Amino acid sequence: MNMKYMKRITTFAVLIAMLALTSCFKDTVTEKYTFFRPIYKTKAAVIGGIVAALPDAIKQPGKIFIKGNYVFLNDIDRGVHIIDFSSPSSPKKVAFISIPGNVDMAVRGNILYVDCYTSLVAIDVSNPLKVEKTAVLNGIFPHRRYQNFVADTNAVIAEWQRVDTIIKKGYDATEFDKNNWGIALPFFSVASSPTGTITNGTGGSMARFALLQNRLYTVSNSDIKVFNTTAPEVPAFLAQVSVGVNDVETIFPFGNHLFLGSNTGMHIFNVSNPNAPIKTGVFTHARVCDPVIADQNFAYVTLRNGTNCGGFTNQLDVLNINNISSPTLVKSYQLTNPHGLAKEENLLFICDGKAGLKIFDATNPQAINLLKTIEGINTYDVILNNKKAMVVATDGLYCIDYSILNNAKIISKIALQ
Amino acid sequence: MKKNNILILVLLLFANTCIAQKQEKLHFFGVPQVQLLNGTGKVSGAVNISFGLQKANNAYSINTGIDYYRYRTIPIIAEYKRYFGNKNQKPFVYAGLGYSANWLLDNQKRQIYNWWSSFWPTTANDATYKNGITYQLGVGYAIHNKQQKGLQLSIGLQAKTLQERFEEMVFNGTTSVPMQRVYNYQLNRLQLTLGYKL
Repeated sequence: MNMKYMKRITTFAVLIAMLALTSCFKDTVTEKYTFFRPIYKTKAAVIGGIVAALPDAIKQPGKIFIKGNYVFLNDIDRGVHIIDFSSPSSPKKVAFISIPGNVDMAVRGNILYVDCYTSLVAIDVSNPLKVEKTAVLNGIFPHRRYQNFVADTNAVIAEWQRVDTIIKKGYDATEFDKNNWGIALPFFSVASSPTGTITNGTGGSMARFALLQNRLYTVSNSDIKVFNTTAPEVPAFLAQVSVGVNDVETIFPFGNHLFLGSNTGMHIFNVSNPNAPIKTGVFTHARVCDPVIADQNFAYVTLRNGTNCGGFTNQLDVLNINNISSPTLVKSYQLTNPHGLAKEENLLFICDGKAGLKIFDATNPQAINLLKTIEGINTYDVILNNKKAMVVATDGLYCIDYSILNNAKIISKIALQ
Repeated sequence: MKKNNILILVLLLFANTCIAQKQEKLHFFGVPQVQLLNGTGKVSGAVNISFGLQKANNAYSINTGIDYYRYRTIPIIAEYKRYFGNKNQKPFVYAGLGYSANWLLDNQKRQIYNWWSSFWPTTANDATYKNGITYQLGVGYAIHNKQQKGLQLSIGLQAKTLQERFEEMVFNGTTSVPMQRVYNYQLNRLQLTLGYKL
């Protein structure tokens, strides 16, 4: 073919191709990301779905409760695992009670009290594999909020569905501005550590439920609710008392008092009249997260920072509560990132986050000594029972034998699956 | 004198013949270039150099330089150029495909602020960037001298890709969990090139 024509055709073809591709002068971006979509059900369907089943995998361990030889372990927003610890070195999962929206619990007699989103539900667990709901009280926990989704009383979030998304769009310079806000909002429910009579179980220090005498006390962000549990299977709502702040996280009962931990301080309520808690004292601190426990003379408060807590403090505060209306700081002890804690006589157990479980001699609050550290576990909360420390960690539930303190060691673990 | 003139003429003819033959032989060339890049809402530039081998009207070269369009990158392109005709001034077409290596400036990288600090430091570089490819296609016109050196003007389409990947916290109903977000950019632009063939 004539070179001249060849030249013209080739040039023309390239020009045509370029013109046809002028739309391709736009910058594009293909975006891949993942989000979780809530799947709603009616409250009736959710309550109706509270059933026990064979043991299930632990996905995200939360709060813990002990009654007799059984450990009740919350799986955040999924339900409660019932674990038989009659042989501490070889615990066995017995059952899993599916309770959508559950983060808190307490056990009185054979009755398990749980939250199910905004409802309080009483469940007879005499037979862990065949549980029965005995009471449902709606609207008890209006503070239950999941980012932009409010757990209302009609439709609730039954599960969250993972959605992997790919979209292609034009490049918008403002959207792809490299100054982005970080998103870090872990939603930890914190529990208190209720102690009680022989008919009540024992909870951790991070709980929002507490059993004292024949009363169940629950805390939202701003108030205490009181329930009569004389007949455990049918808790009766009695009263709601304002705390005066909007950041309450934990509750711990001791003697005739309730010790509430909030982001900005420890609040003390007198429950000599068990139906009417009365605020008697407060100890304020900088913004942190702080579960609290107490004994006859002192209160022990762990303060920690974190994305949900804010602040910079990681320490143990020991407070003198002999004058209950005016607690005073005895001393602060620096720690790594302390969470839940428990005390047995002079031994103080602190879950110090990634630093492990630390056991202190608290005989002299002015000079608390570290006796032993169980390392290698990222600890959250602890309950003491018969010389065994049940520790909830990010990777499962540990049983630590401290009967010989110098030789305290992990004797069993139920791992996540 | 006559002999000298003849000798000069023969030498000139010989030289002319040699030049003509040289163009048919494989020879090395280089073309430094500057480019104006026009894309969506953005005008930028690039500098590069092309060097390679040419035989007759077929030129094979490797292009490399610095591309400043949106994200600074270093292209390494294998290019083919086809001239048309035997004149010193002649059109050409070109096409190339290659590798685009990232060389991002700090302000081109993702930065993140922490809500929960009492001050808001800028924490740069929480993203990773993956190299991509680049390709181009266009037409041009060469204004060469007898030695086939000189200006080259061209217009074409060029594109480059890169990937940005970072971790973000996503609420899963219970807590926030780290998930990957990936952006695959394809940056397309009109390329105006001015070069000088050496």
